[in-house]
Amino acid sequence: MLKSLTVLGACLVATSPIAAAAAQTPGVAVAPAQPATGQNVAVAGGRSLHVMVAQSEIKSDINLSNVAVATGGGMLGALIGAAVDSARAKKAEALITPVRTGMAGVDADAMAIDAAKAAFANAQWNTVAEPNFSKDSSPVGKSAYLDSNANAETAFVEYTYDLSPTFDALRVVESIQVAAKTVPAANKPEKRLQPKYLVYSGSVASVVLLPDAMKDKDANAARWAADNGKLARAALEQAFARLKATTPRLLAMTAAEQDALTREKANKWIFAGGYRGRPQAAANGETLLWTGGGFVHVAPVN
Amino acid sequence: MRRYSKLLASLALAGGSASQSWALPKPMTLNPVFDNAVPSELKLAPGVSPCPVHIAALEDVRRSPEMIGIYDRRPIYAPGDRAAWLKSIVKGLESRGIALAFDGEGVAPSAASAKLELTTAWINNTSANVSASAVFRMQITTVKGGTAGGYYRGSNSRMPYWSTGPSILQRALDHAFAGVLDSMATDLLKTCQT
Repeated sequence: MLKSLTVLGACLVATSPIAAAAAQTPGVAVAPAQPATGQNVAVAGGRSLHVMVAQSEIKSDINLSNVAVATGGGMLGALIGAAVDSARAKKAEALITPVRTGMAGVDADAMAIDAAKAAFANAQWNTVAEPNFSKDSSPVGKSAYLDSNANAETAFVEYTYDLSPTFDALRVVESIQVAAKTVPAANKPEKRLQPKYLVYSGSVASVVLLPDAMKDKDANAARWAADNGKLARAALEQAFARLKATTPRLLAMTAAEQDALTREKANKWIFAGGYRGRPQAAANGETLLWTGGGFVHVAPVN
Repeated sequence: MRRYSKLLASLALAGGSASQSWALPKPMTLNPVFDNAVPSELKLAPGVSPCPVHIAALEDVRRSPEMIGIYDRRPIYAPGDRAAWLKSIVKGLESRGIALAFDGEGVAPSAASAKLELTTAWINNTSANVSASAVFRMQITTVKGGTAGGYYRGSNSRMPYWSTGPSILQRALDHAFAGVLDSMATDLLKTCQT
């Protein structure tokens, strides 16, 4: 992780205002190099930005059955569990259909591109006005993109959006994976995308809660769908706006800063919006969690 | 027995997904033309002449139209000749009581006009299920100048039987398109009833 920091740390120190000021002020101790720009620093060989949305409409999700575990992990339990999951998936697809109809015409792809442009605007390696876009987030597709552009690295930024299993929240997740074009240890091209070979990975999620959500997911789904998907449209816009605001904070963090947040034992882990993380200061009484791999923002729909 | 094989396939898929093995599935390309084999759920009155409709426009307006989805890390591509593929889908209306005339073909004077846009055609997974959805936007103009239309949707969610190979993915999308065609035909048939 943060390979680019080690590669370019010297460059950053040389150009940082602190270093320059220290050089001009005899007798002042030079502070140890503490690059505060994390994933924003320039990259030797260049880094491209590739935005992906591998869905065409809002997705559904289910809570997986635990029948297999509850019955001791036997074959019969597994068979029953699989059947339960399939039935839940069909039900979720049926419930989400009116929401999809209500959201017809919403261009989530454009929202994702817009969010990425704002989130990565301060990255020195990001030199293009319009990021490349694709709906193919498969390892084969990403590997082909690594080969098709001249840069040494690519930041793959994938956005997924869905409704929670109980339809009580709309979620947008931004997953950032930086992969290198050349990975000598990877014996197949697609293996460059394996987690162990990634230069960097992190994520930011925004969970927008349905106010006064009920346990009845049919009722919750109907509320998201009502009035041409008014609440769902608002929640989606709100979620992307939060990603725009929070992503630069993640990108600016160093590995040491991330590690410090993860190890901050005095700040107890909590659950919010279906995620577990350490709470961080956030505006307007909203909840911001540090999960260890990124941020999760949780707030009711405005 | 059939149900068990269905469940076993699902378990195999779930297991594969969990382990994130790097033995990647091969990319798949949809069949070049739509297979109109899925039975229509429309109830057509016997002996009634087909309703003439002129397809004034037919366009694929999806972003990245070369993609049809990703299932368990398998990319699914649209056919290379998307115009022919799209036309083959719409031709499915002919088995649903519609007499189609595309641009350049003879149009009956009583034919309503329809402009069609494919806005969604996508396959992905909901847990182990294959979920496919398809949406057309249709604008209808009757010979008297009346207008109607909207978004027409079809979907299909199914558990894989023996495998998660191309045939089940293709079938899921075929079923979704069959649902779209049924709902479009329902409204197009109304233009012959007024």
